[in-house]
Amino acid sequence: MSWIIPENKLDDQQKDFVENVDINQRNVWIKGFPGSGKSVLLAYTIKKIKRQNPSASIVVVVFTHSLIKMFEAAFKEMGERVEVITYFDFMGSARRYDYILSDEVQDLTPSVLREMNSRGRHVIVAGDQNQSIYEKAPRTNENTVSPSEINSLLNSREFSLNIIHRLTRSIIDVVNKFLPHMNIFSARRDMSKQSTQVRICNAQSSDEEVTYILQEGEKAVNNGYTVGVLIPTGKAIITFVNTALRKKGKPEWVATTNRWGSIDFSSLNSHLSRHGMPLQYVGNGNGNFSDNSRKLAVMTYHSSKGLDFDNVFIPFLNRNLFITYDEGLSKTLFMVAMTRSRNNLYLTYSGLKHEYLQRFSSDCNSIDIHSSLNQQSTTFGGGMFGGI
Amino acid sequence: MKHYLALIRKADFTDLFKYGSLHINNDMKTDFQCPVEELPEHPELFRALSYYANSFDNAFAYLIIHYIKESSKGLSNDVYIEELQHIYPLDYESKNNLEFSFDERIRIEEPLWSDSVLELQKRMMINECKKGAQNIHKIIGFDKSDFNCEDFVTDDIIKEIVDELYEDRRPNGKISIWAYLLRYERHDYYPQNILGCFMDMVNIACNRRAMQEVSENAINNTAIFKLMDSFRYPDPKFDDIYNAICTDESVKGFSSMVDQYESRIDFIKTATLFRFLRDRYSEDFIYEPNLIDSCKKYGEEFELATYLLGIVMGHMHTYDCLYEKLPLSIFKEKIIPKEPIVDSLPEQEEKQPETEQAIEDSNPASDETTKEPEELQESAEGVQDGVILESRINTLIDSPSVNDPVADKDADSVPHDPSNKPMRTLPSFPFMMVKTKKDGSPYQNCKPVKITSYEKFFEYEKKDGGKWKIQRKEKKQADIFDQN
Repeated sequence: MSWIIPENKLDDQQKDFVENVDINQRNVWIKGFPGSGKSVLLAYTIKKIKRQNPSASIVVVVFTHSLIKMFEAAFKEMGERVEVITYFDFMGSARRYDYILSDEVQDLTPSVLREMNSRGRHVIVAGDQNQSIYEKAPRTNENTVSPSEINSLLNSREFSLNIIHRLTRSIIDVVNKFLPHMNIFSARRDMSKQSTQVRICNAQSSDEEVTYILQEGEKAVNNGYTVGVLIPTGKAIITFVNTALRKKGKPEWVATTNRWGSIDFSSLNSHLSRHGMPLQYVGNGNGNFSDNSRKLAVMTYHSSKGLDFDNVFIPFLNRNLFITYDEGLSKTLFMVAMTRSRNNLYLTYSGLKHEYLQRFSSDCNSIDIHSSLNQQSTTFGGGMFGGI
Repeated sequence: MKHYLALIRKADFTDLFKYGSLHINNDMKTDFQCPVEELPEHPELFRALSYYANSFDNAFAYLIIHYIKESSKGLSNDVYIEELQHIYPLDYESKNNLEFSFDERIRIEEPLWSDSVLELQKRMMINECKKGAQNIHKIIGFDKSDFNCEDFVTDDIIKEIVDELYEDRRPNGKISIWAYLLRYERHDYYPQNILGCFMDMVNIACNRRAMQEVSENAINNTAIFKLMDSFRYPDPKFDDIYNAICTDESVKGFSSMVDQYESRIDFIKTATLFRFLRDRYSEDFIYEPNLIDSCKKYGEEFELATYLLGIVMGHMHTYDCLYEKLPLSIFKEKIIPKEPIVDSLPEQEEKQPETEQAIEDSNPASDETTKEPEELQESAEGVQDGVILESRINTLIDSPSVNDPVADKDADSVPHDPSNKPMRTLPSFPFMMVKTKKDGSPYQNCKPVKITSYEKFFEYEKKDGGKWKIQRKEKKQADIFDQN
């Protein structure tokens, strides 16, 4: 089904943009969290331009080929013919346009924005610095833009979309406590929307964390629910996987590197598969979701961007947690990981919990992993539910 | 000189600022005499202002303006920008929003009556819930029934669940079991079939017993759960599980417990059917006549289950289906193509598959042996069913099948073409359509499109650039109500 929604389903902020923002007066930067409808507004903007000026020359500049396909499909459905190209192709030409629109602006570089400003009469960009997980552009190695650069290079007016449709209210509450400056809020209250249960789980050791994740994760995947285990670094993934192998009485994986000198996750997956483990590494071309009906997907925070799972486990959240050397990026990546869950989010730690958790843990359910793992033999049966 | 307050839409304020004046409806304004600082002590002013307010999603859709009018100036219902004294958001969230989106020179005051606004929103939601129930009953045809669902789902219960929702509370205490049911969310890993719905029902009853929400861990050693476990096999049937609960001596305690909380109707049946419907319509309600017919044998319990479904889905998730079912007088007439669907579209060059839906990046991994992209998974079941039923469907779609006995039984008639062309038939909604190559074989990496209404069907049928083939999606759940 198309991601373009009919006008009667736009939320109040989106309607406000479509009805009231004059894109001919000044360049515009549409800011907003994933799921706030930035791309939808770009598509509606094109509709509006075409209505006002059918002969206007328009181009949409995006970061990836998959975004090209996404926009092309939407324009086809809307009955509009619009050129959609990558920023790389844009930089390779010299054509001028009446309107240049661009998505995921936080991943572009200053030179691309400069070029847009000089070759477009009007520029409308969408994106949010809070989601930038690239520090440099892949091909040019140039630094990606900062928010102040976006404003100064484009002399743009900001329009913020703060209503997030993709996230549940409970996750939004957690994000707002973790990163208060995000200032996001959920769409209208809706009785039919299920909330995400956020559980802070304390274990006595990291081994217990892994055992608990395996136990709960297997239960979930065996009943057809998807599970993501999100871990900050490749090294920590190896720790997790080897602990899991040990707990299942299987030989640990001896880390090897591929011909590029990186961890050979393909070999890790073969090892896991050979020993019948319900785990697979997903990322960098390894692992396969369609083959994942009975396996927990283990991946980095970084690789999880853009994905959703019914259940997400984020282990090892103690004081020693290391994500990246950049504190801002670390917070962004942790926020990306936390917002991948639809139904249950488990944040597990042993020892002293990381300060990230302190910011919102009082609002979450708590689970004592040690008691939970030893519960089966002690508490079931009688008590309140005896006799039924 | 007179002081006024008016409730206006945000877009109206933009006009007022832009054009310098705005005409205000009498119903949306009121005068007042008290000092401005004392306004918060007069929530009755807000009640007067909002009495005729239309429904809104977010409180920042509206704002309150304070202006002073000299009787001599202009028309009394026109307000001029120079007359404006204060702009009040409806609540604190709106204050942020308005400050973000208005001209930065504009001063936004603190909200005056945020508590009253919350009450207004709750009242709107209660109405929205009731409208949802009425919509579904109209769609199904239960609106003329004598059975009164409101005896079970009373206004008090709806108020309770709306209060909980707005106050971010989960149900607890000695409240109606229907409130526990309506607010229930599945966070345990129950099977994703009808057995899971029975387990939900057990969980809900246990929540009521515990007077708070409990997890599977707390109840999975009970006799009723052990009985449930005996049905952990593929495609268990509703009647089999239900009959076992009614006859198995070991779970009499459970039935008695449920009777304590609701003895006027069969809660076990109603709650399980409700949970089944909730799972099936996680987004918007879709009218599936075959399914509805197969469930009507459950009588008043099914009627109540659909009413409960409407309460939860509300008007917002049911109006589209209702409009389609009526249909609305303002809708365009649907003209039925004379030619069979598969032949009615222009030919397309073979070179590129259609990107109608999520087609994966054109990587070469799209041959028979490669796994389908993730997006295809959800519809894989339907596609398989489609293959099984393909010959029958082709019969359905390739001929004007007014006499086709299968079509007579299963298909929905497309509204009749006024030019007396033969009536076409379609499988019942929802069904899948998939783009095909010239030879009629589907593209391997093209996601089937879910057709939920005539409108959607016509929309896709008109699309250029390829042939479309109907694949009947016979959801497995549809036969879980079969009689043994």
